[in-house]
Amino acid sequence: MTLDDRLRAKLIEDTGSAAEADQLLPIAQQLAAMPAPIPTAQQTDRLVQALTAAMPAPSSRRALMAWLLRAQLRVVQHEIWLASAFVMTLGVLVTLTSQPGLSAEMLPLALIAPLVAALGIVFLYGPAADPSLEIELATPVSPRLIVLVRLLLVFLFDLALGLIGSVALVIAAPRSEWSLWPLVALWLAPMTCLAALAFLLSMLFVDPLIGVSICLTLWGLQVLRVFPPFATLPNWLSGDLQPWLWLTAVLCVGLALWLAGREERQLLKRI
Amino acid sequence: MIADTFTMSLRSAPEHNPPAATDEQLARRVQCGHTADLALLVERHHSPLLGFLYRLTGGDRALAEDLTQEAFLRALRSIRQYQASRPFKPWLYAIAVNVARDHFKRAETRHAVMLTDDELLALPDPIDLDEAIEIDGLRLAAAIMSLPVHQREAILLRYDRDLSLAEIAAVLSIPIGTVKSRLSLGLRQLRQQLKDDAV
Repeated sequence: MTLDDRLRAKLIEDTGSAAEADQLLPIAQQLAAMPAPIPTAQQTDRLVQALTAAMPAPSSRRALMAWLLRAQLRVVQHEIWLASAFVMTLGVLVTLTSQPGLSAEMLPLALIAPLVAALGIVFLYGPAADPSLEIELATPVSPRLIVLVRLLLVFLFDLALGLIGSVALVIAAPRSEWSLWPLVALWLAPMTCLAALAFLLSMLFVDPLIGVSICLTLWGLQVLRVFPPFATLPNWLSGDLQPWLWLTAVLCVGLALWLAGREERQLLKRI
Repeated sequence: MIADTFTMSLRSAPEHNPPAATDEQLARRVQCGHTADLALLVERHHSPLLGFLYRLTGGDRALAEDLTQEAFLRALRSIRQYQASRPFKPWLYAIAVNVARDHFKRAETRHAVMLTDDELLALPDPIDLDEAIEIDGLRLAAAIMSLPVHQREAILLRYDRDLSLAEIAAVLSIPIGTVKSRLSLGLRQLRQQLKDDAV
């Protein structure tokens, strides 16, 4: 069917008369052939960018969380994922090749997992990952929710790495001295606490190096406990300290979220 | 000048291979916050919508661009209200028509705007077009602008955007019978206008 046939069919449908359709056909032909601008690809891209910035948040809670996770996944620097996976793999390999009879406190995996999580989280916020103030304030969700989602993403990734590493150790270790839950319990509370502390430090200081220094120092002291002068320092990996570590983690996260909310309010006041 | 930003065509957008997802599926995913699907929707409808608004505004390219952006923005802001069970294209064009009507109201240019010779000369220059076609195009643009806006909308949706009668009825929120009468009256008036111009 040609264009003219289609136009004639439409005219007959619209006017109900074949004779009138024939009379009006030249007009319809001119209408169909009217020149019009075609936007360039760059113009369409600019429009897409403008619209993307104005994209509303999804209405349902589930869709909102999925949307937030996807958005924050793009924001987190790729090096964090790669470095975490690399160091954790290294930790598992070193643990596997370590001497038999090594005390639980000296297991490389237990020493590495908390530090990997903390260092990843320290670099989550700051100028490299965060948009400018205007964009941040124009987002349909609060900065508090954004920081929490980003923390969860990296923490869950590191948690998954730690679990995979522990399972790999239990399966692949030639010795039968390790079972899964005691191994996980060894690093889980210290990892959560150090990660929460790193989260708080990243909210307190713009420069991530401050957070890195504090976390490294704290964890360095834990590693130094093997040497007699430092043996009296609190042992993060002991079961006695675990309730305190969990409590500290909760307090750190709560304080960091309160700070994020306060920062948002202050920024809005300034505008 | 014009060639820097636009290419002109006798037809509107070039035909593309139909992508797998329908407009309705893409809109549903935009509701869930998928920006990639928003880009696909915009890429699909930017050119046709710009062409429609360009003709509806009598060939004012800058105005058509502004209205196109406003229409997309309004559509995005209302995306939660969109029901995926209904076709997307009439929904989008209904928003575009409302954006244009708001503009006409603001500019007090609704109904029976006759272009003067000066205004005709001020119409944007189509490029790379045969002179005869260019003049025909200008005459036609002027004749379309002389129509009442409700007839202009119906005619352009039907013969420019190729919408069905039912889709136009949905866009304009009127019965199909009213669409037919607007089209019939509008086309007759258009023919008469062009005949008068030729004389």
